[in-house]
Amino acid sequence: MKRKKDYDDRDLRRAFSSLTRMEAPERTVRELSERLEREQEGLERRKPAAAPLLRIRREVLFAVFATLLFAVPLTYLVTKRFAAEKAPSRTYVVRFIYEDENARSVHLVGDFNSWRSSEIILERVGDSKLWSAELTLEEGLYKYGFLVNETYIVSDPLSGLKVKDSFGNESSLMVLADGKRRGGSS
Amino acid sequence: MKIMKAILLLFIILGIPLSASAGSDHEAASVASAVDDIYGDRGGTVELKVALSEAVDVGMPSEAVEGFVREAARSERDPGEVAEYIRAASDLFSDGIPEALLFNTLIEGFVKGVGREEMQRSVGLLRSKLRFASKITAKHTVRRGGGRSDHELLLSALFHTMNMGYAEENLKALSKAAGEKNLTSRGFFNILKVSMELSGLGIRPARVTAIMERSIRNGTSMRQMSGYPSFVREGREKGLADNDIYSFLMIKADEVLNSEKSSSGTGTGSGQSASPSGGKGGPPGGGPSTGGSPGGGK
Amino acid sequence: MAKPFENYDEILKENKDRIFNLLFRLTGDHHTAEDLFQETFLRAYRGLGRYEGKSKLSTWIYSVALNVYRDHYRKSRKSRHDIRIEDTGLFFSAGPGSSPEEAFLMKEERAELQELLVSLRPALRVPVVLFYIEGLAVEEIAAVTGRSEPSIKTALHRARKLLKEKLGREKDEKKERLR
Repeated sequence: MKRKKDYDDRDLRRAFSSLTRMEAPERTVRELSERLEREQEGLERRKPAAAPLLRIRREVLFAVFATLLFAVPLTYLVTKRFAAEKAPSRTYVVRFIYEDENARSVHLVGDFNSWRSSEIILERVGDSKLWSAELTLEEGLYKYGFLVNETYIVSDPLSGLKVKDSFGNESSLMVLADGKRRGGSS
Repeated sequence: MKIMKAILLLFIILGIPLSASAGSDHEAASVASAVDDIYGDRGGTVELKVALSEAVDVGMPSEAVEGFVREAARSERDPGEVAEYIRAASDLFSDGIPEALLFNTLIEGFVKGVGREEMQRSVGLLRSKLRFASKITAKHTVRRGGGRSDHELLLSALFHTMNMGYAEENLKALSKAAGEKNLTSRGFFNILKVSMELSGLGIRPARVTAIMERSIRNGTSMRQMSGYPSFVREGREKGLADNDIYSFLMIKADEVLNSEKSSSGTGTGSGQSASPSGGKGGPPGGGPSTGGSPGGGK
Repeated sequence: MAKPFENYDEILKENKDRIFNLLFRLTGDHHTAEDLFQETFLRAYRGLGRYEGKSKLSTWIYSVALNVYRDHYRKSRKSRHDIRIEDTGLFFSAGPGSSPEEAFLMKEERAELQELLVSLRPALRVPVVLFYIEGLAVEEIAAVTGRSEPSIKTALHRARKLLKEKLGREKDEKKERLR
């Protein structure tokens, strides 16, 4: 532990205290304030003006309703990438989602099934480009990836949590513990 | 009477290991026949069978070893190669390191087509990583009610953080801080969980270590630390540069400490803390406020 | 709801001099300091807007300033600023009753000090400026720079040796010249 004497120096203190304290020049501060105001205005302008609703046409209502009907469950699926609810005795129900419009088949491989291909099938969600599968897993950490078209394995593009083994392979990591979901990306 | 007791005792003492080995003999036999099933009449399985019986002897569950052999065979690995991996696993197992971590890494390699030479070259590194993880794990006690699983969870987390780019120094530092605060293995695991999340957001290990170390030392609650990742995400949404987010996190980590400090006039830099929202994770929503901006310059 | 900008005015007022002083001492160049000064407060504004504006604010602005400085330094790589005494003379003033010789000497000394500061590499320069000029304690410097306390103490220790050495030499040279 360094004593104060080792790094503090009276002479240096004295020397440096002779330096004038600078003040921010008026001109610069004014320029800055102007820039800030411009930013502020720019931000406000971007806010959408509240348009008054005059009359809602029936067709518009219907379009909104239909969109919501489709969009809500889709959003739910997309945003709740790994919906991990806690099942009794520390097991977790996990939903894996993969996005690929053109894939012919998608399988899930990972530590939980010894990376056996073509075993856990992801099913396409309606007509969307999403594939999904649900697994029940015990608490723990699992490496995994998606086997696409039974040809190549990719790590999860929707998750930021990646690990590299010593052979230069990358895979995604899922951390299941404490009833909270981990492993999803933002 | 005494002699009877002595004989009885002798029976018991001798009996247990005898029956145990008898049991494992049975296990060994079944695994050996499994090898025959798997590899058929292909040559070179003797070495593998020997390795397998050794594995069973040190206590490795036979299903685990069998499973590994099956996967190896599925990827058409040579029995001699597989024997080597099983020996490595036995070695680790007899030091208390579960076989799953090694096996899963190797199986992934099989499936992804890693060559024999490359894999064999890397086994040494894998072993030292696992040993290191085990050493660190041993320093943290298991909480009441937690079982072996807590230890395994921690070991697994340590191993994976190393595969994420965390150096031994990083993990040693975290372990040391955790130890100073008497965190259980579960507690330390939770620290690593948050660390991994932050890494998943692209913050490099050295920085994560700095943040978490500081937080641990300052007594930050787990709840607050769990909020760090969403803190980072929100910061990014607001357009903050990563450097600034990092600085802010470091200061946040000090918040707990500084809220207890009385307003000392130590220099101009430290703001006086307007008591932070205890235990709350991310930043509160709503409008800005200047809060307790400290009084004038020097 | 209060406009973020209105509150920011106060933040600006309270911190502007301190931040400018810091940046000037770090860069040794008035013009650069002005640019970095604006950049600092702009960045802080953008990030601060809807963030918690409590406590740690000024400390956080310090670190934003240091980050801005670090980015600038990495980009420009101009570690040596040619500070001519005539330039810096503008900013140093001797006391009211000092003789012309004294005034000149003091001017020279201060310019040299600034030059000395700038001759330190940033890893040493930043702690020195924060410690001796801004008067922060070691823990605060550590918090603001994101470095560990031991590393700050080491930096100060090294800088102290370097600076004293150089200062000592300057003094001797000066004595020679005055003879």
